[in-house]
Amino acid sequence: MTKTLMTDKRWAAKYPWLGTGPVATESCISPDYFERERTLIFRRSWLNVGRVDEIPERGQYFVRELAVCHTSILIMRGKDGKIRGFHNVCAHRGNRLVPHERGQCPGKLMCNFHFWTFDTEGKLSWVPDEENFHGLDKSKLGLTPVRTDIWEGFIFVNLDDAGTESLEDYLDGVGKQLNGAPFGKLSRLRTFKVDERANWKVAIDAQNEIYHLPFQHRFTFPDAFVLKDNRYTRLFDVNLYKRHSVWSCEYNPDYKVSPLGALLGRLDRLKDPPRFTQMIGDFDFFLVFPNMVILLFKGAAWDFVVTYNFWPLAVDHTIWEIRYYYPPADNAGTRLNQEYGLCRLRDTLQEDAKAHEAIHAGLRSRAKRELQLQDDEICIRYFHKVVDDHAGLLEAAE
Amino acid sequence: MSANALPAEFQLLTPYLAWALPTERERTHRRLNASMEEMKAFYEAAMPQVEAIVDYLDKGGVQPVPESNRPLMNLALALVEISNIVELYKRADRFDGMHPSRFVSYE
Repeated sequence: MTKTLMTDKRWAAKYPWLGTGPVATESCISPDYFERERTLIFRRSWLNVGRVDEIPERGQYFVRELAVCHTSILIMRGKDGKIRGFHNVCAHRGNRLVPHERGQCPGKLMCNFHFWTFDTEGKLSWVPDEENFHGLDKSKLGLTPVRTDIWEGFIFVNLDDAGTESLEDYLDGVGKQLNGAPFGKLSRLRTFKVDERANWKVAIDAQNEIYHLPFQHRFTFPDAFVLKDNRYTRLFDVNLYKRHSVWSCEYNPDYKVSPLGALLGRLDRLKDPPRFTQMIGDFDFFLVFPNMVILLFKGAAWDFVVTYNFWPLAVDHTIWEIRYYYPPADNAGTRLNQEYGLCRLRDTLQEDAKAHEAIHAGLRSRAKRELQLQDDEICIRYFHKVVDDHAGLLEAAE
Repeated sequence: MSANALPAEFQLLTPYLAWALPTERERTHRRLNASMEEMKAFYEAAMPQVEAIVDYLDKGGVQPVPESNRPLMNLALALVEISNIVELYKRADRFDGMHPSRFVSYE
């Protein structure tokens, strides 16, 4: 038996202040609104740019192109072991300091324009022909730091130098719910990067509910989660935080996995996997405002995590990054079972991605100017409210 | 046994050795260029062998998979790669998603 209540319209009853009316879509297609999101959301929020396990060794670094913030960020583990973030910009004449995606710094980073050289803590350590400059003060010409902090191994940056909200305060209920979760015991098996012609909110919205599963994903996941009258999905729980949200569901006890999935499940012999006891349901969808999603899946043999990061390039152009984290496989059955789950979800997400572009094109036509949302789509409603709270309501265009 | 061969126990699967590709990108590419008949034949030949394949691979360990076992592991991963089409969609033309080449994968 499941614990999910099949009651209709219970989330509007839990969060009556959110309202139940349609949600305007102009904010998904307006270039002006996108500029406001750039300034008022992306340049002022804590943004997840990676994980500590990408740079385990001192001197290792990676670069993140944050086009939405008009900058490139360098994240580096210093000789002292501390992880710092900088604008990836040379102090001499503004050249991009590190031109590649990642690397191991031998002790210093050198700009390839005039070989100005910085140490692993961002200090300017050497300037060729320094004597020929007019009173250069190297101590004031280090790399420009970016506020950087770490939560459970996830590295976040905040480009608002005047901001005072800590990452812990920013993460609010998400942090409280997932503090201590064993993310660090999983390893990344695969990353996907998808270049989409869709607004970043359109892409997030399409993922931010399970109503569509029995329909759009009728071949891959028609009945994985608890169904009302065996037809429609129902959420187990919804929690709205200051900016973020989580919805949770329970697995359908009558769900039948495919023949290969059943076989690999039997052959999966992972010993003592880490368990995510912090989970709310069997599948939790945490939206960390503005553009990160943490998916937690309870498994028969082991729990696993998928993260999404949606990076806007323009009002109608987004990079969707998908990362799969599993407990390290110590036997072949586990390795193949993990690949099985990965491929099944991947094919499902490809169906979603096609829809992102189709939906964006539909909204762009302005044939319809509102979203009609049912009760289980409440987190979409809340997300748009939080976006509007930050960027301001848009006057009706045209 | 050459680097690209399957162990003697799995000679029945030798006709499908071209599926034993080391990355998801390559396996997906091959799937997209394969006929349903070819995928079904591979699936039907490989499914009865899965338990024996897992037992064999476990003897050599998987952290990492030794060089000599990689073709067999890659073949098993390719079976996983095609399984959604064979078991769930049942027809290649039922998949209605973004072209998989736009899901750029990094191992």
